[in-house]
Amino acid sequence: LPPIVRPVRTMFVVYCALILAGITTYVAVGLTHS
Amino acid sequence: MRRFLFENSLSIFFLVITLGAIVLQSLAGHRVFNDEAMTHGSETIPYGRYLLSSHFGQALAENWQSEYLQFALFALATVWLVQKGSNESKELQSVGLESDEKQKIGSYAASGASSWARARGWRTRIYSHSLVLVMTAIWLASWYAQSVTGWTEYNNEQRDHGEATVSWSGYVTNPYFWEDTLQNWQSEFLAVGSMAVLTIYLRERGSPESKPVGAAHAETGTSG
Repeated sequence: LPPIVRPVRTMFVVYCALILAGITTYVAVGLTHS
Repeated sequence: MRRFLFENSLSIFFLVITLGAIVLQSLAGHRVFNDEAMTHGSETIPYGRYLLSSHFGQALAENWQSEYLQFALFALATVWLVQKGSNESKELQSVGLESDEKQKIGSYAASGASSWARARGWRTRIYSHSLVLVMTAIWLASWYAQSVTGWTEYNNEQRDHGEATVSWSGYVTNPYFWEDTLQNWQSEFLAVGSMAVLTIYLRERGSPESKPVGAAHAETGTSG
């Protein structure tokens, strides 16, 4: 694989993690407190 | 490290300003929350607790959902719909899914492409729509997060006013939920629609979001 792939993959994972963490946290918050 | 920062400067820049804006939003939101709590004579909460509140979650989720809806819809609409002269549109004769050769599918796949682009069958079908599938999933998940956090907030207010609480299905068929949802949608639709039209006549030198400065107004989909 070309050397560019690894850092780009890191950014991909960082964004996916941010989105998933946000959504899961606040779904859990909403469901727990209603 | 410098090379990493350079090659990823666009995504790092937006990641940093996203996190910065979220922190500032949470600080302002915390003050709003405690202000309202004092007005209603209820207890104020510390910052850490506010970060895990439905008040903050709803404010995040309702904006996230509309952004992902916007991008998913735009990616999908631009397969079939065009705007003559716009940088956001493809060429008029390319409407639709395009040939396997142009889309580099199967034996046309480039070296370094996903093996799912080469595989054909169900894997190529899924990978061919992976962007819109994932964006749609994020849209629906954050819209759901908006609905459950908004529901909690709505019921808290109902309790504060001594009124009856509602079920989740009662909340999502309630005008409060739809006002929050649609006020975000309208601005996103306006933004993409105007971007499609403004790029016909206006330019930003060097930006792939614009046609080259000297491109003809009728020229369609030619990033500069």
